[in-house]
Amino acid sequence: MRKGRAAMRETGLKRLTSGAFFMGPALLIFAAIIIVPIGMSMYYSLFQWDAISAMIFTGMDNYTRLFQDPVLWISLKNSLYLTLGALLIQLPVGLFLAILLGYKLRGSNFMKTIYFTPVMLSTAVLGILWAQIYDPNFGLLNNLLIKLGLQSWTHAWLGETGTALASVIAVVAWQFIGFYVVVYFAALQNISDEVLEAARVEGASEWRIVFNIQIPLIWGTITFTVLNCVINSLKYFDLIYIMTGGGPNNSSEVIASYMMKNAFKLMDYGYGSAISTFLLLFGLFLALIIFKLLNKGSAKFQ
Amino acid sequence: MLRAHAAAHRQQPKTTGVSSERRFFGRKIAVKSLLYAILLTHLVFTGYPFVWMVISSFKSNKEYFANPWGLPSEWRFDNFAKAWSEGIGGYLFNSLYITLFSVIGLLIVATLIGFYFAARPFKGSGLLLGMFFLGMLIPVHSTLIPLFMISNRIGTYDTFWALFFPYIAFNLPVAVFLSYGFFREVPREIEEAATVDGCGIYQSFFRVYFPLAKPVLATVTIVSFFNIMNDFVFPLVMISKESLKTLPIGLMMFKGNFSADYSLISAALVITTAPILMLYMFLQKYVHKGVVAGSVKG
Repeated sequence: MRKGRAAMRETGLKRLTSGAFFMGPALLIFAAIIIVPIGMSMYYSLFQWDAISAMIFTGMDNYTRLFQDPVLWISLKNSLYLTLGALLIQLPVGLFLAILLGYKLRGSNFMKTIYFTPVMLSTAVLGILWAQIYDPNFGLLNNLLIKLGLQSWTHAWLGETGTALASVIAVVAWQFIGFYVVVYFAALQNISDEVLEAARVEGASEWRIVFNIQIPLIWGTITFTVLNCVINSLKYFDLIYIMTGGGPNNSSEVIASYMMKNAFKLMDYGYGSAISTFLLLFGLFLALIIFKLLNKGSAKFQ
Repeated sequence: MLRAHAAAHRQQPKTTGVSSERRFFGRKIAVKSLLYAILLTHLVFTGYPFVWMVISSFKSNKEYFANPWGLPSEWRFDNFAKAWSEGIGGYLFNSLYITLFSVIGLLIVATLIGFYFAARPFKGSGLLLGMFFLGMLIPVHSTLIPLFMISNRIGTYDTFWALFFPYIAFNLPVAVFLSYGFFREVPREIEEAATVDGCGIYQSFFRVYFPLAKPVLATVTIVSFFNIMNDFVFPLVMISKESLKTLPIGLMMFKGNFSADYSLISAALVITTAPILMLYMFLQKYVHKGVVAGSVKG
């Protein structure tokens, strides 16, 4: 350590108080709101508990129940569909549009601004708006299909077991594509024009430029977006709650909404805690796997 | 693709016949039109629902059903007045209030710790930093039941405190990451100079580092503002009092109360959307930058 630095370092009690002053508030809030509750949630999951009568210790019963609960498996499957839908629609379309915007067409800035708009808005607004669009009797979507002569394609989109989940997935995609456009666009802008020009002078096709230059160079960003996308899809709750409430007949239930239903509607806090613990561990596990896989991918590019 | 063709164009020997030049020119236009067509399709797909929402809000309810695609025969403003007085105004105020205070709290708490990690790294500070980042992976839902129980027990249920602290906690990871990243780049010499002038750690934070941090404060504000303003889960669980409801939850109530009046609901949606949209349009450039900075982590 250099002398100059040592001079400004606090020692002993001074260091203790300054540490507490600067780190205390953040650490306290983080611990009280996130760390401790996670521990409590794990603890609650070992009990049968409705918050009114006394807690009854039941050990791993909630977890045995969890793994035998058909609705949990439906929610898990739906959560995975939601995740896959996000990965296969939002990211590729976002990347594709970002690449197109990179050609600096007139109005591309304006388009980027509009694409991003739904990301900024409350899901309550978007949920209500899209419920109006999906409305079986007055909604724009059915109305449009009828106008096009596709009467047979109309559905009670949010009210049928076959279409409810897909309808929500479509809205989630509609909302978040703009996010990935902006993120990928920024990453692509960081690639120097000279690299691309050089490739073009050498006669590389645009396909090759996209797949052999642009995508490898923004692989770090892609890794992050995949991780972000999976994590956020797993905890997705808002639109499900607003648009379908998990129905009809659990057909659009996801893990987070099923947890909320058990805890705050059915007052089964022990079981709700078991589901939320499962959600947490499953999410961390998935994040770890993705991280490992994608890191391998980036090793390949280097 | 365009630039490739442009490059090819430049390299074409002058002797090339006019016809091939013209064919090439035609292809360029075709490609360009295709790009525009794709981008504009997505533009309409994204934007039309909002246009439709605004148009619907000026219609009478009857007209909403009778003529869903067209413009209103008469542009009415009474839907807005009614939606505002039926509660949307109050919800908007509640949302702005809690968002403002949470963001200020977040800025203070996050810059304090971000500064300390950057200026006084110690054994284990890296670990703590890592713990904050791991926080990004944690779903709100695995803390909700205990937080609900705690707030019931200590009496913060149905108060703004039940939202304030969770909003700070769940926005801390990104905020700490950003402020730490910023302060780490501040040259050491600046603090050394401050020390020579007699500044202790507190003065150097408040007089030197914090005033320097404007760009990072702006980024954190933008990223967290929209997050908090639009949050749905915490007010759903923690607030039941009508007078404390925030916009997203209030809007759901509103929709329930006026479920048959679609044009009125559209007006409520417009009132909810307008301030956020205006803010976004003004700060568009900064919002994009902020979101990118807040999301792309090393």
